[in-house]
Amino acid sequence: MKFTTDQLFLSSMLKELEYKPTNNELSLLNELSDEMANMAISYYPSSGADINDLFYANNKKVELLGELNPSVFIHSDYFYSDHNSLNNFDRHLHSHQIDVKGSVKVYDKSKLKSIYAYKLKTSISDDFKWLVLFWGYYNEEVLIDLINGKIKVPLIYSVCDGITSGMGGCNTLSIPTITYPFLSVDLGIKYIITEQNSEHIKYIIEQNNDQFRTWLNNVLLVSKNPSIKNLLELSNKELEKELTIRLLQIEEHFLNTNGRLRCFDYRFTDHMVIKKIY
Amino acid sequence: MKLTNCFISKYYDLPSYERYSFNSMQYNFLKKEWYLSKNDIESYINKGSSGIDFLWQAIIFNLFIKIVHYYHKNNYKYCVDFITWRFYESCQDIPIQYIPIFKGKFKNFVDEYLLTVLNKNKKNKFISDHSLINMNSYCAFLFSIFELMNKDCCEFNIEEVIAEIKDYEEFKDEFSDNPKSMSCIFKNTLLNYK
Repeated sequence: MKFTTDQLFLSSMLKELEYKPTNNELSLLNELSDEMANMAISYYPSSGADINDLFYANNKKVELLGELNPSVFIHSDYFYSDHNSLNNFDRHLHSHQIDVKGSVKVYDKSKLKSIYAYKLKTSISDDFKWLVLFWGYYNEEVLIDLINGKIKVPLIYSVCDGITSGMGGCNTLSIPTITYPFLSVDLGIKYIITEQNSEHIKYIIEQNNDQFRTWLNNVLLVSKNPSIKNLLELSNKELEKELTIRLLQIEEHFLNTNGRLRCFDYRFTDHMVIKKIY
Repeated sequence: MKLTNCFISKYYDLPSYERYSFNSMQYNFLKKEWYLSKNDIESYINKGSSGIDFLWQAIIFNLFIKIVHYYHKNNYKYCVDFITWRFYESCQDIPIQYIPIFKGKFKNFVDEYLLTVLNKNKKNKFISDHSLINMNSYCAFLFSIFELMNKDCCEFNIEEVIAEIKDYEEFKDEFSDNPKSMSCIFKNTLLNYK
C-alpha cells in the first residue's frame, strides 16, 4: 500500500497547514511512520528548546527504564518558535554534536505554528533517532492526536511543566503533567521522568485545590478513561483527598543519587525522579 | 589534587573569549577559549606552589576536555553536564554547554608561557623544580578526573584513553618532542603512570 501522510498521527495538523510533501519528504515521513509503529516513543510536553531527553531518556542512563529505549522523541511547546532565525534549531542540534540526516519542516501561513520532523544521529548511539517538534501547538492538541491515532507513548519526559511551573496559564483547556497518570490507559504511559516529585506534588495539590476539577475535566476532553468521571462526582474535599492518595502512591525513585548523574537538567537535577506507572 | 568546586570556579573565571569553530562533523559551533597574559601568569606564580599547581591543573583539565571532545564525544555532554552539576555552583543561572579550553597547545602553555614568559631565571628554576617534583601528582590529577567520570557519569577505559594520547592526530603537536621539555616529560610520565 502506498504511504500517504494520512497514515501519520499528525495528519490532521498537516492538513491544517495545507502541507504537500515532496517525494523525499514523503519517504522520510514513511520511515518515521514505520519507526513509530515499531519503536518506543517518548513525549516531552512544553519542551522549549530543551533536548536533554535525547541524551538521558534511555535505558543506558536510566537503568530503571528496563527494556524501554525510545527512538522517537515528540516535543511540543506553544511558546517556542524557530522563525526569528532560520535553521536556529538545526544549529542547536549541531552544537550538541547531533547530525541531522533528514528533516521535514512545515509552517502555517502566519508562521505561528510549525511542525519539524528530524531523522538524527546523536553522538551517544549508532541508531537513528527521530525528533518531532510541534511549535505553536498546545500540548493538549498533540495529546488528542496521539490518543486518536492510538499511539502508545510509554515514556513522558517532563521538566518544568508548562502549566504548573511555566507559562501555561494561557490555555483554559490545559492538562498539567502531574495529571498525566490519568492518561496512562489512553497513552500506554509506563514511566514519567520529571522534577515534580511527591513533595512537589503535595505542594501543588495544596496550592491548586480549586483547579483540580478543571484539570480533570480537561483530561476528560482527551481521555476515554471512565474512572475520571467517577472522580469528578466527588466533593471538592473528597477529590483533593483522592487525588493526593492516587498521585502520591505512584512509585518514584530519585534519579541522581549518591553523586551519580543519570539525568541532567541545569535547573532541577537534584529533584528529578522517575515514576513508574502501573 | 582532585576536582573541587573551588578549582572549577577558578577555571571558569579564567579570562576567555568565544569564537566559532568546526566540530568533528564540520558544523560551525561556538567555542570558548581561555588565555592568560604575562601579568596573569606572574600573579599566579607569585602565589608560590599553589599558584603553579593551579596553572598545571588548569592545563590538565583543559587536556581532559579536549580528549573527550575530540575522541570520546559520546561522553562529552555527560561530562560537561556532570561537572556543571557537581562542581559549578552557579549552574542554575547559566546552562553551560561548553567548558572553555586553552587557546593554544599544551606545550605552548607549559614550555613557553609558564617557563619563559617571566625571563626571571630564579623563578623559572623554582617553577621547573616544583613542576618536576609534582609531575606524578599532575598525572594522577588527570587519572582522577577520568576515574570520577567513570564512577559517577559515564564509561571510559582509562588506561586505553591515556595510551591513545600519543596516537591522536589532533594531539600530534600537543606535546613537544624535546625530551627535556616539560610537556614531553609530562606526556612520558603520563604514559608510564601506574
